[in-house]
Amino acid sequence: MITTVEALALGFVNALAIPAQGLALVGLALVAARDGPRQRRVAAIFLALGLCAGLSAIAAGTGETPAALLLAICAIASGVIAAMAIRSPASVVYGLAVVTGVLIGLDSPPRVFSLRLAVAILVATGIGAVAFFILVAEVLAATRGRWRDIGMRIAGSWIAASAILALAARTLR
Amino acid sequence: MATIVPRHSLLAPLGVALAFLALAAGPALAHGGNGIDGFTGGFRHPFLGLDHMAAMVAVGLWGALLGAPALWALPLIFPLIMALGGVAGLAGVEVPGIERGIAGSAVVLGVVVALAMRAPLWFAGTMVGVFALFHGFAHGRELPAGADPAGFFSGFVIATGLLHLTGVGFGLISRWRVGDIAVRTVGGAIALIGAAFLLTAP
Repeated sequence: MITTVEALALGFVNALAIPAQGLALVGLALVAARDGPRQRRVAAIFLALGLCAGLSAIAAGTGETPAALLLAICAIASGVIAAMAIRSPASVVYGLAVVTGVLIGLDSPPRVFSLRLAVAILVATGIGAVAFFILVAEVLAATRGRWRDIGMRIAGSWIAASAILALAARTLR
Repeated sequence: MATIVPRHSLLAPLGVALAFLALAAGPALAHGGNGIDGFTGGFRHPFLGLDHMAAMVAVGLWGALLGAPALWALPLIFPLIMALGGVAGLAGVEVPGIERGIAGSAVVLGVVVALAMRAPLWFAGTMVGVFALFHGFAHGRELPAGADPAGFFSGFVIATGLLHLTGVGFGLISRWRVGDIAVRTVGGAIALIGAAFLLTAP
């Protein structure tokens, strides 16, 4: 049995600790980091809205969904955009943000029996995912120079490659 | 004169490192999952085969010898093509001589580094891409039963990428004469390792 504080802590790191969710979030941050501060803020809001929708759906009793598969597709899209250094229109980034948020929410059903703990985990999951996205996107956006761009492209290729393999493993095996 | 380091020069690697460290974090038990086991298993994987490891370092060494844009383009191309090879492996496609292909990649890449061969980017990219297919195919089949696929493959891809970057980092010393000799010697050693595997490959 875990306490409320433990539930909050576990929920806070959830999106980082589940690799499919972490890949999608890092990929999204890599894409958003190329945008201006206003677009990054709006992307964070769209991510938060998506998380609210996805987590609410889980709280409402939505069962198993193919969210993990779709998250891999999101990670592939954002990884390829980052690897190719494509400057995406703001609408694409916002769309990716809201879809990623919904899917992370749907991919995070709490495994506890107490309603209080479940709510704590779900709320902390949403806050943790948004905080992690903002942290990575802002750190990357605060940097300048050629090596930053190269690092982001290589990281994008790693994310896309990992997600392609994860998607193939889930569908082909 | 003191070197002035730009304030943000360390932030980019910090951000990327932070992002990937997060992927290595422990699973949130409240939601279930076994991401950490998958990640560590995948991260260890490239270090278990000496021929694979040597070939990955050679990719980075060659990129460094060729200079920009190959310096970053080869480590960018490799994982993407490797993933496509991995998909074929996961799909159960049978390709004969995969182990020979991996050993052969170490021989060829070791030789091009040892000879400091120049090549246009399209040629280097194509050659590295073909070898990446072999490596991806072999490793795509090796996902342990029960491992979290996203965890395993993100660990595997990151470790492979770090081997590339190790090669790039070491290869950059080739701008000095002694460094050039050291890099080319390592290339020769990689070719010999590959040859040893090639002779014993099934």
